[in-house]
Amino acid sequence: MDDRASELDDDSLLRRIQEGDHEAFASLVHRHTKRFFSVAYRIVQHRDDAEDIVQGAFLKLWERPDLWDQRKQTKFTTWFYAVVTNLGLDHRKRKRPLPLSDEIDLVDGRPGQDDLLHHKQRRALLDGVMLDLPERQQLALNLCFYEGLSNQEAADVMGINLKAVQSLIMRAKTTLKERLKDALVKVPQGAE
Amino acid sequence: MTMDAEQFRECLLIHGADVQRWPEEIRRAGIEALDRSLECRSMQEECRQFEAILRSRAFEAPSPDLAFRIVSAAWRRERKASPGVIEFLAACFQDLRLPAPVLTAAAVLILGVVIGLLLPTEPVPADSESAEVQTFLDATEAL
Repeated sequence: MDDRASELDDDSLLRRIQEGDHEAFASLVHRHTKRFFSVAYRIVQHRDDAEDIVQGAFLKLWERPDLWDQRKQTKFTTWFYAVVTNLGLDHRKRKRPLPLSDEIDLVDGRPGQDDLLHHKQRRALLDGVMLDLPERQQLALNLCFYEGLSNQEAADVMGINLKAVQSLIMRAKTTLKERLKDALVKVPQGAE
Repeated sequence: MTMDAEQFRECLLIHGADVQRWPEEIRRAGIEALDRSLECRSMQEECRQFEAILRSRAFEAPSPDLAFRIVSAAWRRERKASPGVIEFLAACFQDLRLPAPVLTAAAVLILGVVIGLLLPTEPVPADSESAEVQTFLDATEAL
């Protein structure tokens, strides 16, 4: 990879990508693939699908770099988070969710398997209650809690105002707390 | 600004258990609330435990070669081509409500003029052409 390209900021790389610069594109991809994979994975909960989404998003950018309009004063990452998020949500709507109970059936009688069961049960439970949340609450939580975006950045990605994001986060966490409280009492603490 | 327990609870939900990472304008009030209120400290501890549960959610790392695969796939793909000359001329004339044969004739005429203008007035010497090919070959060999 071109060292000079890797030193450029996103805006400069995008200008070069618009001129057809492969190295600039490679730098941008290497710089951001993990973060965009992470947000895609949180939405679709499947590694291969998340990889396909991120690849699809970057290929669209390569084919149509003019779609990124620097004059709009939006950070590239904010804009691309929105692209990946929309692709992820579309993907999830098209695909039926996998049954979460599959993991729980993996238990056998060997020593130590109880802890494994509890761990898997808790994860499955958490996934279940998370996926039951309204889509926008999930998204706000994914962006702010799991991806570490500020509330304002998440608001920009979602195209809503700051107060609305904060309200979504509060409702999401309150609901999760209530639902997990009772359920986790039934599932003893397992190995983390 | 003084923060009561209810405001502290809301801030915990919105900004998380680590008060040091709260926005600057409410951070000091949050720290003061923790200093003076056992209830706030208890809420913070509960929030920490809750966040630990949320963090235990399953996550898989991407394939190590994902970025390379994306770059390779992009290089194999053609970018959306710019419109060709004929398409460009068609687009220029599409708003004029003229019969199709007239439009075609006009496009061909303009294309002919453009080609005529672009053609060199003198033949390119064979030596010059082969020199350009050689330069290209040298350059690709060096890669």
